[in-house]
Amino acid sequence: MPVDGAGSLSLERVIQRDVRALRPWTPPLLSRLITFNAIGLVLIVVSWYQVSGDLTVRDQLAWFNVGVVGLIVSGVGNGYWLLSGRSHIGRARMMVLPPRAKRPGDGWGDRLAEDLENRPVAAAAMTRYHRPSCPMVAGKQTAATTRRAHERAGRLPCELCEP
Amino acid sequence: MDLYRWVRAQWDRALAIVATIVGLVLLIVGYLGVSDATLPTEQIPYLASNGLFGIFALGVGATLWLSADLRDEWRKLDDIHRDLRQEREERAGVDESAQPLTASGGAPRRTRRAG
Repeated sequence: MPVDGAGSLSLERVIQRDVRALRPWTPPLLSRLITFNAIGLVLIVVSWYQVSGDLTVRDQLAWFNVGVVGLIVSGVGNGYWLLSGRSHIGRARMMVLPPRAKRPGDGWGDRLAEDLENRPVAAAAMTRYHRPSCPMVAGKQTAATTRRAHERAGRLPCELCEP
Repeated sequence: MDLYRWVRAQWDRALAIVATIVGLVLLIVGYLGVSDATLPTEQIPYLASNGLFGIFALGVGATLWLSADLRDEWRKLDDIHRDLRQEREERAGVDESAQPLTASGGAPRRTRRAG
């Protein structure tokens, strides 16, 4: 199943690669997650301890902010863990499932060109409009336009080609 | 025991559920504590303990659950990769067995012509 296009992979090349090398997480990432969460937890515990011992709102809020910082540190660690796992899995998916080959007709421009090519045709004096491939217009000088424009000009669809 | 087996197989999801429940309980207890307290100096310790710990536990639970999802996805990719590799090896084995004997050293048999 060879795939055409830049950066594409044939099935043989995909199989030869080792997806196991792209585990979602590595030990350094795990240690980073644990470190961030440990720092966050320590800051929250310190904040709680200090807030409980203070008697003024001002001091309590100052230490409460320390706890909020701990929460942010922990959130950053968790977010980094999830994003790196997501990224590794995305790369592994690209490795296992090669990109789909682009087929003609996939793009918007291709569809537009196809639509323009298949617009019904008719000559000025004709009372019916036809597909471009209809034998009734073969060799005749015709102009292509939309179905609606043909109907506005009083033409009916051809019974033979049924455009 | 099905639950025990599930917890062993899905330890990360089990931990995520526990962390989420703990977080919710902490938040509810904190809310009740703050509601009962009248002075701000009594309310802020509830925020610092139950509020922050509760949110921390909810964050850990969410991270564990999403990690489990990602790990499942990776396992599925690994399965697909293993199947593809196995299929290729089987195909290579069939190709080798289909080769003629001459390729592995055996001489083709000749027919003797008369005359």
